[in-house]
Amino acid sequence: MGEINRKRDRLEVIYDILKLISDNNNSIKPTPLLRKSNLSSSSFTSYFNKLVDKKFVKELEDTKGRKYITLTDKGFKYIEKYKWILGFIEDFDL
Amino acid sequence: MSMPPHFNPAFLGIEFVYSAIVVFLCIFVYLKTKEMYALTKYKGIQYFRIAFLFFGLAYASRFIFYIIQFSIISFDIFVPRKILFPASFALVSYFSTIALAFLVYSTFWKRLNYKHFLLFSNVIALIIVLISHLTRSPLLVALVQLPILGFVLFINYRKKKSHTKYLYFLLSLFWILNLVVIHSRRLIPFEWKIVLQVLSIGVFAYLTYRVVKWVK
Repeated sequence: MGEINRKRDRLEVIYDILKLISDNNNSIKPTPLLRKSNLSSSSFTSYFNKLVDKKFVKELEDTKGRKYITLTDKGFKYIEKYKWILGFIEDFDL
Repeated sequence: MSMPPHFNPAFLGIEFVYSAIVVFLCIFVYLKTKEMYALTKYKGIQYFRIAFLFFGLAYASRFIFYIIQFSIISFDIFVPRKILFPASFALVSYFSTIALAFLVYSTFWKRLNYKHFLLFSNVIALIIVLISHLTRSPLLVALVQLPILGFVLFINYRKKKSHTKYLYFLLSLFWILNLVVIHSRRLIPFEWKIVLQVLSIGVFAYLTYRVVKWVK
């Protein structure tokens, strides 16, 4: 698989993870998110850490110490703009 | 300051308006795609933005070069020609080469993904700056940049489905014609220059329209 597909996939994978969180009322535990994302554990961890670093998602803890993942405004914006971004990349052969 | 009889301020005015429109459109494209790049960090978008930033700088420096050239010929005023003329021409050569190189690279970086492209493009640009410094000829710089145009043609020809096939070719072609025009200012009829400028603005405006469609 060439760099073109890996890059395209990266945007798609990010979108899929963010969409899963959003479709789950913007609150999901890490384990179901890993399961639903269809990624290997190491791959998921790598993506997830990047999403946290880039402030697309944040981890919250409830009173019982359970972890939840939610989207930030930037995460919602990515979902909102995703189709436009793909269209732009396609239209300009980028 | 005395004004020679052949001087027509309209030429300078038209050149200013033309350059200002093109520079505005280039910077507009650059700024409009900022959010998209910030969200994705996608390399293709980064190269595309660099290309337009440098096209803007190339057209701005081309106008400065034009003014210097014009002031030397048309006005009886002191212009530090030995510094300003080569300096502005070096900027024109450098900015335009980087712009053309990144425009081309934005469409095939996925296949090549050359890690040192920034260094490579700068080396090429500096070689062209050196050529421009030694020859002081926009025509020669245009000729040296011609292979980049050929490369645009070649990679677009190979692509079966390309949305930018003609657009990028025209963008590169008009830049090179712009260099030819400042080289042969007196040889090319005024009307032809106007046609070139209108077509050039048309290409940039169409491209900006296509960008705006996606970044609303």
